Amino acid sequence: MTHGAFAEVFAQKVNFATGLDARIKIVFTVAALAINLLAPNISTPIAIATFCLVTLLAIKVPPILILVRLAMPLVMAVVVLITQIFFYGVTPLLTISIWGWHLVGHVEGLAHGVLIMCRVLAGVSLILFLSLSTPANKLLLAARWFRVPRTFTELALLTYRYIFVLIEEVTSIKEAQKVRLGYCNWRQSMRSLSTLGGSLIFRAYDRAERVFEAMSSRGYAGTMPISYRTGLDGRDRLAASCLAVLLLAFYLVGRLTI
Amino acid sequence: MKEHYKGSLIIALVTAVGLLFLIASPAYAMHIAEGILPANWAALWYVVAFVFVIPGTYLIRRKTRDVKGLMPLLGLTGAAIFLISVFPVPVPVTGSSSHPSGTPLGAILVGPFISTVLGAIALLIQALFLAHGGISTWGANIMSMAVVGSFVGFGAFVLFWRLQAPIFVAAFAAGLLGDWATYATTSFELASALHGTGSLWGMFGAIALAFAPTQLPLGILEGLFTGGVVSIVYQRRPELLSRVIPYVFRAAPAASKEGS
Repeated sequence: MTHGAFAEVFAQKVNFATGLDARIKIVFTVAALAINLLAPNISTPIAIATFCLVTLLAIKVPPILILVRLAMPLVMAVVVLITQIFFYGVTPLLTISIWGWHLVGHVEGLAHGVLIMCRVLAGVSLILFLSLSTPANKLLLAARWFRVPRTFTELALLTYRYIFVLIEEVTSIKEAQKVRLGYCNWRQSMRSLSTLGGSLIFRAYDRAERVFEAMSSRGYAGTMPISYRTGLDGRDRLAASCLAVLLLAFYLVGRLTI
Repeated sequence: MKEHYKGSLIIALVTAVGLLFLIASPAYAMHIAEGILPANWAALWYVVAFVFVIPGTYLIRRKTRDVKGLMPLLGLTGAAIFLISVFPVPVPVTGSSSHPSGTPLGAILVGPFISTVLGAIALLIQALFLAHGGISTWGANIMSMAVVGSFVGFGAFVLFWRLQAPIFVAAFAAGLLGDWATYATTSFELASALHGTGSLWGMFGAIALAFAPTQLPLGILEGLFTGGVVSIVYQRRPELLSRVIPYVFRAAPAASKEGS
């Protein structure tokens, strides 16, 4: 179901992007997201999106996967663009007459809507750059290094791990339901989905007891040892310097093209 | 002014029709995508959301200190809620599918504060690995889906249960109202940040109407789904509900046998 959709396989490959320390990538992504949101025009978002998309293609992420990931955020951005054209600004751009009413689109609204669309493109590209080049466990360990509460990171790690465990259960139950014509019409589909949801909860609770026993036998005493003590090597420092220069370039490209 | 609202209605209808064509299959329409909210609004929603997430995290920490096996249980429950939130629920008429938010169900199972934290984690995983939602919009999405979905869903369940409604009806109301409240909050978050020089409520109406064709039926589907799942849990393993929300069952102990 969602097993393939996570596409962590790309984060497990060995290349220049995956080899970079997760902490550096997190700092770069968060800083670039802030620069993107504060961008006064479309130059900065376009520069950020270009960098991220070229990097993703360079580490051989399939273009179709990138497009699929970009599709839904861009649909929402289109809705925002339409509302901005008609609600934002004062300078008339176009007039549409429907059923005797006249809708006036504005120049400022179009410009603002396009800026938001570019920000969405850049923002989603940045997130794809981070998530397709860094495994989830490294991201969460790095989050712990940034002093995110232990309870939160531990729970997030367990949740992420168990998603894959429970996907197996969901797939097998759903296949059995399909064989018994559990999805032959809408009414039956809703009934089967409710049963599937209930079964998933039962399996989660039953498995939790077994998992706790297994974890206890391995020395688990209520908390997991989560730490990230590795220092940055010379290569990471060099990469961090390059990314810092890139961030400055992203910032300046927007300010210099006003 | 009247003309302005007529204009809003047309924009909403045009956008709604466009959405119906654009969103052919799985719809995560109410996740605010990365980059849509301006920096100041994104920061504000982070602050508001964390007013709920921080007590939830402390509650989990306190409970896991007392009950050692609770952390794996919450991890598995969080994973189950995440998977339920990506179940493709068939939408009649359009032939497409949509997804429940899952937080009203989560709140019934583990309580609203813990459900808020599990919802926040699910939203983070969705934002990072499925590109649904975003990092800068994480606060706004936590507020609409995890906080409002959990608290409205839990409140509706408690209210209907105390009014002696059957368990299916109480859980249906939780799913329906939790989903619709999520949708209204997201519309408000978008409208407040993007109305610019126009009217806030005009923009709110336009966005709400634009998403209505997908979100109103989805609320009913979420209600049916939540009602179905909670009824099954109540019939087969009622202890799972009584352990996590003793408040509801303490309040109406006699009703627990009639509820199914």
